[in-house]
Amino acid sequence: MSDYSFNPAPTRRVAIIGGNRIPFARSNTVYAHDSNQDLLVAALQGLVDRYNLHGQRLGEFAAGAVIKHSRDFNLARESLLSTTLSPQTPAYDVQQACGTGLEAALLVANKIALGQIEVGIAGGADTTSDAPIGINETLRHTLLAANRAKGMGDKLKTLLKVRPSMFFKPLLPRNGEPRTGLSMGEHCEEMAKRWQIKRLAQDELTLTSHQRLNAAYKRGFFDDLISPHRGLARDNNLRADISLEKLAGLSPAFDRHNGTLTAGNSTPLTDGASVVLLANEEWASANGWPVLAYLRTGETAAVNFVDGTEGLLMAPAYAVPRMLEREGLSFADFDLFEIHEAFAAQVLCTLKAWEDPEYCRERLGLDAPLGAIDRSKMNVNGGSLGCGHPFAATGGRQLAALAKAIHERGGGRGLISICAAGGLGITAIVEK
Amino acid sequence: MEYITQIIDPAPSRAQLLLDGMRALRKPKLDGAPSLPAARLVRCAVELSPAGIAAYARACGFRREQGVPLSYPHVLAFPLHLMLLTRPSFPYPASGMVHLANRIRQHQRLHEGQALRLEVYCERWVAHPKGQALSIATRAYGADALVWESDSLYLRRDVDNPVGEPWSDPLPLQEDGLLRTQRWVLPADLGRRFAKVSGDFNPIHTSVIGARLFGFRRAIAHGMWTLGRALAAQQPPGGLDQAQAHCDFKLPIFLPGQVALWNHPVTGPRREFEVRNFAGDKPHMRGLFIWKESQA
Repeated sequence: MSDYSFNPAPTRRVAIIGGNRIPFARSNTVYAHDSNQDLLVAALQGLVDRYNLHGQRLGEFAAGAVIKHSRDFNLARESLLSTTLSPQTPAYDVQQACGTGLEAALLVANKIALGQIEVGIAGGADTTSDAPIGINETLRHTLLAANRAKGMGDKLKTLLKVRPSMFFKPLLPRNGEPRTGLSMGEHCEEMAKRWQIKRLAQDELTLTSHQRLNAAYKRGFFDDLISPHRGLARDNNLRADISLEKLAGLSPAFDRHNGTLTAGNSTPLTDGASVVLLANEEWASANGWPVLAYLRTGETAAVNFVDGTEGLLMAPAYAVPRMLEREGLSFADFDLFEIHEAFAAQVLCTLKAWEDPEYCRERLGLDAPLGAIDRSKMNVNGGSLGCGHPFAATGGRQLAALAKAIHERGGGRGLISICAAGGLGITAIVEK
Repeated sequence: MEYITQIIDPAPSRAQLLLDGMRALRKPKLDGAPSLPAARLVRCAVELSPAGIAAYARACGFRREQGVPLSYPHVLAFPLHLMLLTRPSFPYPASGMVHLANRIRQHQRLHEGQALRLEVYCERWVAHPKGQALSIATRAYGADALVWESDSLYLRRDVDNPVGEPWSDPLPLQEDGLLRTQRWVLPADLGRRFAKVSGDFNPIHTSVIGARLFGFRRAIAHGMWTLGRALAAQQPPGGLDQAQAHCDFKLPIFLPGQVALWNHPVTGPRREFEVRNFAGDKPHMRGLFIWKESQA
């Protein structure tokens, strides 16, 4: 008789050792000729260099990209093979829209917590400059039919259906939700109207994001979080000289007549990559690295935006209270908040929702509203509005920056929140 | 009204319908009140074929998990509509009949492979402010019961002293608070694509030249496509047991173009909606879609 009963080992704390990213670049600028893989390799190799991981076999590397070519099916593994990590390190791809980077980190962290691996890297990359352009759908169906046809005659007969016009009507990547056809900006514009978010409040948040990012660069906060790439040493979306007057001069981008979202208070399309090194405490001390902070837990949520009853980017509003309840925490227990700024309006909608008694009761099922977030604790080293938002790279950027900020202040607790396409929200708690 | 039941078998060919359509371009001027055609055209067993449904679903954006599209039997019956409108005894030229409104009611769940008995007949005249309207009834029977029905209101413009019951606005909907919830990008060949799956090859939908012949500057989208697209966009997953869709056709949608779906963001099995231009100031369709949540 075999004994199948076993006592699972207690879970381990997951340490954030550090992170690395390349400076983010606005689409079609410095990284215009870099592929997702080029960007991810640059970020990963930078991390390997900083933490001297050359030749080491790690537990795993999990990463992804949102806008992918079909050849990128094994993006993480292919990228790893281009670095000086041991080629015996396994890797896999993750994709959860803009939550990709943070979800990858949660996956690696959970394996570390369960004792399946000791150390791993999570990350993500995205380029909208080197975007995939598909061949015309009719042409594709015709070619596939020709491939299925038996015999040269049938193949030729099928291929005769190919028309020259098919070559001039390629399948372009769409900047829109598949189920609604509306762009994310149009969805967010709707949210801003529903929550009555003022233009000025959006521009103020944008200004703060740029100013804090600039200040963080000035005091060297990013020195051990960023490796230069292609001659770029800092995010080229950052406008140190930005002002409320300049932001106020921009015209609405998604609703010309009644809109409040502009190119200034929305994140631009951006190219970039980021990675985070996660390990258990034994690995950290054995390798002589201090622990910046611990990745305590995560929670994802999704909302029904298809019938219009909830805003596309409102899922974090649901994920956070669920996570707080599970962990027995409230906003008062947090020292830092790292809220992804896809749009200034989306951040402000979420904050307003958490302060709204009716919304908290009706939608979130809470007896009392979650409350307000102290803005001086939110995105203290800048956010996506300042540095840009290469979709899958944002989670890694936030996680590393938050862990370092907690380490800098000698401990504390921070919350990460990311909204994503498809009505998704990915959140996590980091603490030390 | 006594109808003369005429079995149509096989289905009329596209060439025949086209020929009849050409012949029906002109009609002699009518003296006095029009009489209601007495023919009831019947097809005994029309299959809800998986291939036909798939092609129709693709054209309108229905997903497989939504089951047989509520508006699909209409396209199976459409050739019979054409046959009625192009008959020598029909008092007006077929090409001048404008599809004004449509209401569909489904009483039982439809299944792929199911055979329907389709009956189409002119039910009644309607006195419309803009001319003489006519309601054509489409009835679909399953093994033993009426499973699906549709009433299509067609208008012959500029007829003085129209006969029949007075027209009343069938859809007094709440226009306030409608939100733009979807954007549809309509390609130039949408009319040709929908013609292939619906059998409605009216040249105003399929080519610019054809559209110009009939006074439109560009080809216009089929009204029944717009209805299909709107139902596809709003129906939850899972097929429909019982459902109703009512729509009024408003301004034509020129191709290529983009339009938007406007509706009230609510859950539950009832949608009042409009299809408007993207800016939202021109209505193309107003509609109401009610369904009974599937028990399955």
